[in-house]
Amino acid sequence: MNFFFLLKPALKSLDSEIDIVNASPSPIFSLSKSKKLILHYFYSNGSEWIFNDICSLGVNETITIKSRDLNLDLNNHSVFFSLNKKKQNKAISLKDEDYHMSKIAWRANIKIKSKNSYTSYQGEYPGGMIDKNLTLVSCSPMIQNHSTIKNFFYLVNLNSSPEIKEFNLEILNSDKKVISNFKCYTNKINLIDLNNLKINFNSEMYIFTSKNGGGIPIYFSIDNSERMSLEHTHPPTEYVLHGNRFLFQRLKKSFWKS
Amino acid sequence: MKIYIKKLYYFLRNFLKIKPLIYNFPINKYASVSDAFYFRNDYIKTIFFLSNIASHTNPKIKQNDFVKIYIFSNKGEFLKILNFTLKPFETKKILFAELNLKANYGSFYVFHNFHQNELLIKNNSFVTERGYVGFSENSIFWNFVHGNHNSAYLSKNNKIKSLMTKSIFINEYFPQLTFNDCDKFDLIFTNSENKKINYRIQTYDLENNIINDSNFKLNSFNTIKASFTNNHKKIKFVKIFSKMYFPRPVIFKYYSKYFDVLHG
Repeated sequence: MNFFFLLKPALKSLDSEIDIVNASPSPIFSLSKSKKLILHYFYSNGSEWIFNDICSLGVNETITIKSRDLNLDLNNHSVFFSLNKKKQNKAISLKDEDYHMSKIAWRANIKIKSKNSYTSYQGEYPGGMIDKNLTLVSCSPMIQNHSTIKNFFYLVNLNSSPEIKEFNLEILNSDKKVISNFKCYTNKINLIDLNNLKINFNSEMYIFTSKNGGGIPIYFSIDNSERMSLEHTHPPTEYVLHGNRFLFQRLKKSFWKS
Repeated sequence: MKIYIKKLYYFLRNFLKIKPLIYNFPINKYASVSDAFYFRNDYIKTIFFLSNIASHTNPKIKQNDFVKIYIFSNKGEFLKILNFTLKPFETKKILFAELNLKANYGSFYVFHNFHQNELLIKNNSFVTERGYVGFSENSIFWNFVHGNHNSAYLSKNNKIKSLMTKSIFINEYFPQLTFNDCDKFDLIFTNSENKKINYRIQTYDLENNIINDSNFKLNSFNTIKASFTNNHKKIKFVKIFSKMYFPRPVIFKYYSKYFDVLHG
């Protein structure tokens, strides 16, 4: 199954939304059929997963959830969503239920809203990632170097265990020189204000890497007029089509992590 | 011979809808694969970040990457080929407004080639360009979207060959987002096939009633921008129907100020 998440707004003037669609994007490539399920939001308190049910989402139904719809401060809680067969309350581990089985991922539209516009991308947190020991290599050209532009980095991490553990993340340039490092946490939607790092981002590519943690890397930029951009980077497997794609992921990760 | 039998096997599977593939296999084992990227040169400009892809697939081998970019107009007319040699780990910006293209929009394909590619061949893998395109109204702030498809490969004799799969039956694609937050939106489709493709686009309101039902024909290497006004924000969903198995569009959503771009 896929989990979804609500991004914490990077600035006070922004809001966060998500469209969750309980339908297959492509019936021919999907083993799962749309079913009436219970939509929950959930977060970790460090020792347990706390679930709250939002509604029952019927076959092919959609819901748009705004951050203000949840009685939670996104600065203190990283909020994820799941569609479950049974109502959930508390759990000591997350279950990867057999839903969303598809060659073409069932995704949600993950959005940031400003007064006059939106920026979004089609995203999900694959259930297959929650029991893995993750690492990260994200090569991004999406950091914009201009005095009117602010850049932020999200790293979304979700594990089956609710434990909140710290891990280290480094930013490298293409010469493998570490130009900054910071802490991230498991089961959090980590938000890093890149403007606070006092780096002159004047290169075309930066590598965000971690040896002991990972997740979905997302890059958000906003200018003084509230133009916005939101996009994730591809996992290393996406530079290769067919064959042994994970071999090339291992080669890339071992290079940048060494 | 073996590779042609394999191609026929996959063709029949796709054609008859028996465990179809999302993308075909290139015939040439040295082939380089690319998305059919969208560019526009109207009030919104385009930037592409071209990276040495050999440094992404096997960074320990430091080698140059020889790149060809083929650019087509929206009407499928071949406009230009650009050649680049990228040093290891090099990334270059390509600004489409500086290319003097005789089209306001269209598609481009990016094919990489490097000498030490034995590991890819040994593992039946193909290098693929699905990189990052930015769009901007002021050429300062860029709104990014990554590649949408593994659309085509470059044959030995430098012909662009489609990898998109199709069937004799109509398939449905349902972009998993809502449209009732915007005033106008475009769905962008490109055609890497050497044949015409038909698309049917249905728009739906909140109660799942059909609002529009439109048909589009897309000739070879054409790009189509299907534009929908949504003044009263009645359109909530769209569905796309085609013989193509994975007719996923690039989407532009327009708001009172600015725009959003994403792949559907």
